[in-house]
Amino acid sequence: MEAQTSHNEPLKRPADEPLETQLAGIVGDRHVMGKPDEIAAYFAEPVDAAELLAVQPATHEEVQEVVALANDLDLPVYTLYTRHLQPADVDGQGIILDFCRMTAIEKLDGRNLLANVQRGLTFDALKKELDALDLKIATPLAATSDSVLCNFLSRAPLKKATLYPEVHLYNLRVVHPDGSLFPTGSHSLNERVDCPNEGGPNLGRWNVASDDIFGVVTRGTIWLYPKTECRDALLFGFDRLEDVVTALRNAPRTELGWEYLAANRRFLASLLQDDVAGLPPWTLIVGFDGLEKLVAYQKKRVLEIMSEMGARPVESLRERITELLDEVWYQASPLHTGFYADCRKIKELDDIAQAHITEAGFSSEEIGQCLLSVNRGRCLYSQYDIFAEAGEHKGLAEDLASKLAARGAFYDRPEGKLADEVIGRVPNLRGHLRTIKDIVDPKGILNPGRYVSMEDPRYDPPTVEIETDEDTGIESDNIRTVEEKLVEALGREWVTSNPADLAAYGRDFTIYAGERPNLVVLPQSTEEVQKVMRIAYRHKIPVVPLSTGFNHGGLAIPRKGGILVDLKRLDRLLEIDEETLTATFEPGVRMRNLYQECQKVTTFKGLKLKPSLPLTLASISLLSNYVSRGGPGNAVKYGFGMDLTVNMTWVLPNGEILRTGPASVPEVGNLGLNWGPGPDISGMFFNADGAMGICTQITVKLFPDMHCEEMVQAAIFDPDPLGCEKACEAIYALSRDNLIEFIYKSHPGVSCVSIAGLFGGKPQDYLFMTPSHPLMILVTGFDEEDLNVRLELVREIFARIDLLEFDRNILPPEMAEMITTLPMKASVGVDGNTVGAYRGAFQWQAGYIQVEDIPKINQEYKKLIKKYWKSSDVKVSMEASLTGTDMQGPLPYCRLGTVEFDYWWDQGNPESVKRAGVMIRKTTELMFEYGCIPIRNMFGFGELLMPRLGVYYDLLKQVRKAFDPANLMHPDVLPATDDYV
Amino acid sequence: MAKDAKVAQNIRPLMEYRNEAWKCWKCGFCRMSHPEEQQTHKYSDNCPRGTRYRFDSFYGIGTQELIRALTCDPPELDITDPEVAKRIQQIVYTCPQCGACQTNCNPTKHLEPANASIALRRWLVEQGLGPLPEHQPLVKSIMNYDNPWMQPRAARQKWAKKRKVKDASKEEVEVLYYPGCTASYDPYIQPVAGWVTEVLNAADVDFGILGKKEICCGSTVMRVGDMDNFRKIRAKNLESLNSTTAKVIVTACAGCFSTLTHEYKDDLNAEVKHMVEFMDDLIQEGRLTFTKSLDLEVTYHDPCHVGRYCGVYDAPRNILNALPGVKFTEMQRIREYSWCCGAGGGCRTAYPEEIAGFAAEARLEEAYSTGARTLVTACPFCEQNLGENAKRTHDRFGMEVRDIMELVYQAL
Repeated sequence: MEAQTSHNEPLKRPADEPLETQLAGIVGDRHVMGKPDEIAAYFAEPVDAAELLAVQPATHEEVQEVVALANDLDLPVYTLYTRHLQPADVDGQGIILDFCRMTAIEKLDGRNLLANVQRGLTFDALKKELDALDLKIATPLAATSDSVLCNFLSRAPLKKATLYPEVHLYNLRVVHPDGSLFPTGSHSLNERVDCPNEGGPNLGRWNVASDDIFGVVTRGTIWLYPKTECRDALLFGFDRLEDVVTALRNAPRTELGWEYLAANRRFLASLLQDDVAGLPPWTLIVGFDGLEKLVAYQKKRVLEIMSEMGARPVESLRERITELLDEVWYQASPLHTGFYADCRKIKELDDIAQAHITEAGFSSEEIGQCLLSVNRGRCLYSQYDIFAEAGEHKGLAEDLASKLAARGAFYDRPEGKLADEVIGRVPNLRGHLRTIKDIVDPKGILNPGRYVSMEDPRYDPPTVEIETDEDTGIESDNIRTVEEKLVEALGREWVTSNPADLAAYGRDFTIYAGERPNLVVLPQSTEEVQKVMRIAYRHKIPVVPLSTGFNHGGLAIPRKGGILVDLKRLDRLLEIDEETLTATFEPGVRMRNLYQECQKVTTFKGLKLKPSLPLTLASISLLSNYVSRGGPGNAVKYGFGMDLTVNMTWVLPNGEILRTGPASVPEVGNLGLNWGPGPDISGMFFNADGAMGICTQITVKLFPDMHCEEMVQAAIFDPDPLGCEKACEAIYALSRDNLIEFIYKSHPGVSCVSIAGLFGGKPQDYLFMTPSHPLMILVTGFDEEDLNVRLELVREIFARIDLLEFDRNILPPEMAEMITTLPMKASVGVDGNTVGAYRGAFQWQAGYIQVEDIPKINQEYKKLIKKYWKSSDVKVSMEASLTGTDMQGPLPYCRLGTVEFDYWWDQGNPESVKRAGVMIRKTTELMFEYGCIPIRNMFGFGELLMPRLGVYYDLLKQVRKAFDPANLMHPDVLPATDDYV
Repeated sequence: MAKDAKVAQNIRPLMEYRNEAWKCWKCGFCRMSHPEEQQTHKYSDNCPRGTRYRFDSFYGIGTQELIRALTCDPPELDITDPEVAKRIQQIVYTCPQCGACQTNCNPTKHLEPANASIALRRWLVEQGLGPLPEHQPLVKSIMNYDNPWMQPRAARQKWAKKRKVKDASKEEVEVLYYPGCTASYDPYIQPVAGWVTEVLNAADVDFGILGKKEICCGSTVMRVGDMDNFRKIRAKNLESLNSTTAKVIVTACAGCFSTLTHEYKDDLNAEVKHMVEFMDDLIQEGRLTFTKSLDLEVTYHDPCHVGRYCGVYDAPRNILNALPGVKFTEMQRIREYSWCCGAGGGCRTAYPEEIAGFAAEARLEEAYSTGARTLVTACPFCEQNLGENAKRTHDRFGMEVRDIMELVYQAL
């Protein structure tokens, strides 16, 4: 597929034609509406619609043309997220975009459980298609419109959020006001792979929950789920809110069951359209969705746990509720409010809500309430529906929301005046939003007034105060002055320009040659990082951050000199919070330390806590791994690091601080949710490697560490392509039944090098005993029974696809001992470090890919090895060259996998370096051909990748220019200058 | 570059470490205690020098890069530049040569950062950049007086007066006790020699000393990189040590123990043992029994030269567990992953506060966190350094530092 062009030229139309005629020329006469009754249908309340036109484009090209036309004419464009627009949303004239004709499912991928759907597609229409394939989606708890895409875009809470709270949507197709098309995620490269990540920072993520202010979203990739053997529910009665909150907080931590939500009588009456007078005040619903044997076990244990909590089983509505779990639940009343909150705050907030509503003249019987346990009970989503005519009590819900927000309720998508209040509470956020708005919609035509006003102050870009025509101010007098200022700011001890120190910072183990920095500083706090940033900018000195310095991509070495900000002294582990299941720490905290400290904290049923760690070394920084998109590790159960990152603190190029996540709203604090209020700007910091600022603090999700675990190994000896196909088949089967915690497909190179590293000899000596595709699978369970059920089911899959289970007892004891579950789940990676022993340098190139494509790319990679690499080792095969493809961490349900290419080389040997350089280039090109977005940046990737990314690359350059006008933040790590390529 | 390369053994010329330097992939294992041994974030660092200065140049990583930069052609660093030379000296001489970096790096990456650091120090001496001025009086004293304290040779055996000790240079003995310079001259450590004597006598061991014929083992000279002078000392020592009938040489000094073990062993007629090993054997054999209860809560600090250098970890623990009334609690960083006290490698002489004081304070805090208030060790340098800093930090930690020999003696 061709790369996207940077600008899709809209058709030029005569400017003197009336607007209606021009629009009709784009979408056809029948799809432009301007009659008052036609316009009024878009509003829930009467509106003066004299100057509004509604258009119904059928394709994204038509949307491009309409939006570009509006932009040319400075006309506002209004889009619908909910069923209706509010009169306050529109200001006199403009164009309403109605997507009712864009209803296609452009791609329905049952294998990878993904679908590309247009914005006008309704839940009902999608369901019909999916039913035929035994598929389904995660359905909203309180949908605000019929559009699947709009609900996902708005982060409408999903009932499945108890396990998977993340937005089930990516790869947006976004139309910018200038008419250009911005495909986000991996679609910025091409549409061969459906992967959430872009080649650099995840800019497209700011389109989520943005109400289209940064571009009109016309299509997206959504997650599908398989219909399972057993869909069931258990219901339990509770008398008191406090008790049901405790149940929603605690029980999901066991990972027994799926949905955990509770509804009061009024809510259930509305949901079921039935009299529920006989029900207790609160009904807790526990949903189950999986293989029959597993569900049977889980139900038994949930009954026991609920009994311990004093809950009464409720049988009467079980079947009806079970049927409804996969149905869309719509917003029950126009008077409603919904927010996330810490479980400990729910009662206090409820008291405020009840008082507010009853003071308005309602009885408590008219208040419907529903609580959803989010991501293992780390917080709750709380929804109030007031069953009354909206007209009479206009403002009731808005006032209530404002009151609750002031007391710590988290409104992640605030509207109207609440949006002003909430966004205004986050320091510097408005300036950030305004600056992004300036880049994508400088005239402010898209849904004007939402989240950001064109009158808002912008981010104040840093300025350079020295006069020079050079790219940087690296010049001896200037460096001396900078050093003096840094010494003043940090103290003499923590600043060096001595070449003997600098020598330690100019190299990593990749082929990328770095320059030595001119200065290295060791700040100890966010404030000190701010000072460094300000000094650097004034003097036009590049800044490169480094946390622990182990890097696969040349990213922790300066390319143009400058100040290297070594973050080792920022090494505080600030908090491990059992309530929200999170840990907050600084860049210098090593993975092993974090894991170890988390293991000391227990939650419900004595479950220890653990972070989800990438499969890498224990000695390195988790903060860097998460913000730089490190290896996906346990993704099959928990998802990628970006979705596990809750709050971040960034020092921006101008020295100001921007916080992301719920904790950015001071009243809210930590919640364990991975987005802040309004548009999700956090994406632009991921995979930016210091080009957007320096991250000095992060809060990540922790998870209950199940009591029981076992590692199962499968050995596939079949030659390729059959061997690789079989391995991938196993990955699909194991992931799709949601049975396991971790799966890693290795290759003989990794196995042999590791074994030789530990036990001596040449890696090739161990080839005879090494399978072509070793699979390591970590299975965990709440208790022995859970584990055994899962193991039994895993072994059934093995039998079904004819996999040989590897019995490690046949190994010498010291070798068998090495195979433990710890490296899988805890990334202690002690033995893993042996992969670096052979030849010293270990090249790791990896990208996201659908697992079914791995056998194909594996075959292509073999050709590259044969042509460019093999003769450096032995002459027989890829295996004997100790190279091959890895796969770790498919996303849950195997929606997306990774492929990794490994080969070893000697950095001290110029010939070996040269050959590695060729291999990197060829492998990178192969990856791009397959639509494979690199997991993380590498200098070389940037050069090859960025120019292929069309609008994304243009956007990235503009963002860099807006926030870092002199291109000083890790310059060239993200090639963002016009003359770069 | 070899798997299982021992700390401070088989040190090769610097150029031989050059290719290995390219193979460091900056994993940072050299910076931290073994991942599976770590218990807390607080006590997870293992490198006193790096933890003190924090720049990469002060860790094992930096040693590799320094070697790479100094040995490439042309060199990336100009050692004729006084500022560069001074910083290199600081980087190299603030390393207490504890070997902790190598203990973690070598099993997986097969590199030898500690040994490379020793080679680098020796190379600096060859370039005229070492030893440091602070070390010079020690070297001179050892060469002129056979001890680092500028004390007369005759004073070496003062401690033995009125004690039942044979003169091994004149009488036949089974065991030669080699107290070393510190226990012979330093009034603070001198009691150790007496306690050893009492213990050996209590176990009815046939032992003797060389008295004023004993000379410094040369450890200090070697550790500061002055190999020419060390070779001279070694030759003299071999003559006197091999002149006795002893089958075993015992010492309670960790520095002497590691030096005699590794640098002399091939040419010595006797086996070398640290007193903790020897005593452990005596206890196991039933030759050493205890009658007194000490009523003490203790923790044990593994001296680098006994532990990482020579692999002796169990013996001192066996002894402490055998002592009546002693409650022994381990610290978090122990055995091969022990945190160095910071005194070694000439650091206490050249960097008494920056490294020796810093590292000792961290160790005392760790010891304090066990609940014990007595920190036991088996090395006079650790004892001097930890003891001195225990006094300085008494208000905070209230720790006392004692030699394991003292406890054994008291329990007799």
